[in-house]
Amino acid sequence: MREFRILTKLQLSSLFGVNKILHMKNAEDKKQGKRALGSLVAMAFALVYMSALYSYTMARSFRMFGTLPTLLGIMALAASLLILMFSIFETKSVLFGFGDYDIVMSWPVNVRAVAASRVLAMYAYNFVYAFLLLVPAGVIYAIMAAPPLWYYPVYLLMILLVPALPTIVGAMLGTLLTVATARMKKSSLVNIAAQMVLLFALMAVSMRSGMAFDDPSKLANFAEVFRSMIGGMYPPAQWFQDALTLGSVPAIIWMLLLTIATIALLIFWLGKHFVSINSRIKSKPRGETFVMQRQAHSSKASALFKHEAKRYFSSTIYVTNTAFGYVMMLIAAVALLVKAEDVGNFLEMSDLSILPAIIPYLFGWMVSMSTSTASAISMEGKSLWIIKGLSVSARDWLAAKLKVTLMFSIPSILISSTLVAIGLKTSLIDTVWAFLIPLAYTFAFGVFGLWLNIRMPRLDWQSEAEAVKQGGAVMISIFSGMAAAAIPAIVAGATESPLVAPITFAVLVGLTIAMWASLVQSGERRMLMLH
Amino acid sequence: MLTIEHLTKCYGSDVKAVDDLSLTVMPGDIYGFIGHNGAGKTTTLRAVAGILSFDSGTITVDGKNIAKDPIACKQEMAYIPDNPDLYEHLTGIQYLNFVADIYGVSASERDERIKKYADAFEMTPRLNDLIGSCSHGMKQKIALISALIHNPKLLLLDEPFVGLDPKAAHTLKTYMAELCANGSAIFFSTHVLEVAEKLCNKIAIIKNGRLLAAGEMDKVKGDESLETLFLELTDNA
Repeated sequence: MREFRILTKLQLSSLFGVNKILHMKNAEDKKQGKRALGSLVAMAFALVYMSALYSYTMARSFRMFGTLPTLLGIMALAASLLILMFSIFETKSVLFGFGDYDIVMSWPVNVRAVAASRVLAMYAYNFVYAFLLLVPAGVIYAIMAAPPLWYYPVYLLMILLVPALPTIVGAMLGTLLTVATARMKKSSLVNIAAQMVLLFALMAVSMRSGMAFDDPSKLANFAEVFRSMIGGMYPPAQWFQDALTLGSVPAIIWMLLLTIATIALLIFWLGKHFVSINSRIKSKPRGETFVMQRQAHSSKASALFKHEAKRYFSSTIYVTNTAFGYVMMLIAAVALLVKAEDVGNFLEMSDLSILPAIIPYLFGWMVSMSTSTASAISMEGKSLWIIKGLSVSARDWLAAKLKVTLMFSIPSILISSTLVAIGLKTSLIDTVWAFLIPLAYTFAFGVFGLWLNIRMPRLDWQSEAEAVKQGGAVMISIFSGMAAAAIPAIVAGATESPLVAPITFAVLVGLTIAMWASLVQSGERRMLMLH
Repeated sequence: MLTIEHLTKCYGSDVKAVDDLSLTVMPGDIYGFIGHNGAGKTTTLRAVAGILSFDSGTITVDGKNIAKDPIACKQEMAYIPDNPDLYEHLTGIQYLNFVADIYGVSASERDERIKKYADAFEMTPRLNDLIGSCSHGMKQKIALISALIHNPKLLLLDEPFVGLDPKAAHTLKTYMAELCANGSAIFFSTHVLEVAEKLCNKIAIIKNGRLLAAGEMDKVKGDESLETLFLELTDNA
């Protein structure tokens, strides 16, 4: 237990880079660190606010139909699915193949303690998602339903339990994937493909469950429909709801037992196989014996771009975290091409004529959250000295990183916007904006990601997940993208003004030019400051 | 080839990692840089390599100012840190080609140099392996080959012999001598005083960021061994 406590403390010290910021000596570093921490806190407040708004809107609807308790079940389900998805992505880099593996394993500590501390680190990170979704929902439910006093202690217990199960199940699935693909030659690419398939299988299951509302006769009993939907998809979310709203003791016991059993199972299993799995991952296959032949020759810009692209594809977590938006965009475009009316029904839109005005911003949001640049500098990690020591200007270096984002976003936008234009039979002007607005977003957020990341780098990571998911630049970029797309979309939807698109486009282009100019101007100095 | 004038680098408000350091490295010099752990060797080398900013002083490489024209300076030199973390997702040959592309080394020159240095360091058969699967010594060898691939005028090495097997260490010494015989210069830090004494024609001793002695080896150490001089200077300073 002592070993577990010490190792967990070590793990948690790296969470969000807080420990590093607290112990910085250099005034400039300290200032930057405080800025990054402040941004994270501000972002957390913004997220809680958004989550509360969402919960409140749902709570009002549920109360109208007399099914207020469903709010808790739905939010527990959403949090669990989100955590399950992220846990599968994180497993390879957090649980295995971490940078300090050799030194940690050389200490006289039990392997199970090491494995358990890694799982707990995943849980701690995932708890943030549970906190963001379930605390506002729990508070809003308490205000609206005025539950008895026992609700509060049960709530505290249940919110601690909710993230555990999907974390463990995600870690198990992630481990299976990691083990299965470890020895493959293109293990990263196979891992990325497998994770995407798994992700869309999960989405398909959740969509199918949503189809419960297809049958109008069921609408008469909303509570029952929701109950069967949540219980059918993920029983622990139903137990969460029952424990808090009915005071169901069996639900609490089930939740406790299942959580403890799965944790014990995973720790026991990992304790037995942790070293062999890590050895399997770390022992990379030897290449064929090299025979000197004529080597290809590239320009500096091309060499930088090729290197950035290879770096991108070498990291499963980097790809899965950034490519998701493009895949979503393509799926949405195909859905609009094939079944535009069904999409309208799904979004509860009686009038589809408004869709062409909103879609460009929806795509803009999807490409903005997919930008790889917000963590591209952090991903350099300890190898940063190479690029700093080479005769490479900051402009060329940053341009290569931007090109990786554009390499995916531009074709995705061109395909998706074409499909939408055909599917919705958009007017000429709407078609033009369907292309130009998402393109403006991808350039703006590609540059914005670099602009943020060079100011808030996370270079001291032990696992790639810290760079890709825990950096302040990533958080700010994602949520700024959400806001930057939501505002014009709402205005366009509400006013139907033809001016929204050109104004948004002009603002995005202006910001892109200004941010790029600022990067080029201060890039060398900021690059030199990175360490 | 390299002129450092009054270099000062502070960490925080009161810690001077390098304090008013001045020295000159001429073409053909193999200049050793010795000092205790934390004396300021790595900080100086990193500042010269253009990867660390400094508070005051001037560094010029082949007449160009590193602060004002870093790209032109870097084009003329190569730097290898004490623990080279290379791109683990690339194979050895991919990394060497990447560095050669950055320096604009022509196809024929790179083929010739990769073959020459990879054969000498016995790395050729393993150049298709991912760097992530290489041992510390193999990574060190790849880093050294990448540093030599554009025939630098100034080679900066931080503890270059750590992790190398005896044969590779000997090969490195041979190429260091060859490079300097062709008019380039080498400025390197080491804790191995015997190596410094045998290999270098000039030496600088640093303690707490301040230079205690610098100049031609024979003049600096006189009749004493480098070890005796180093201990005398660092204990009494």
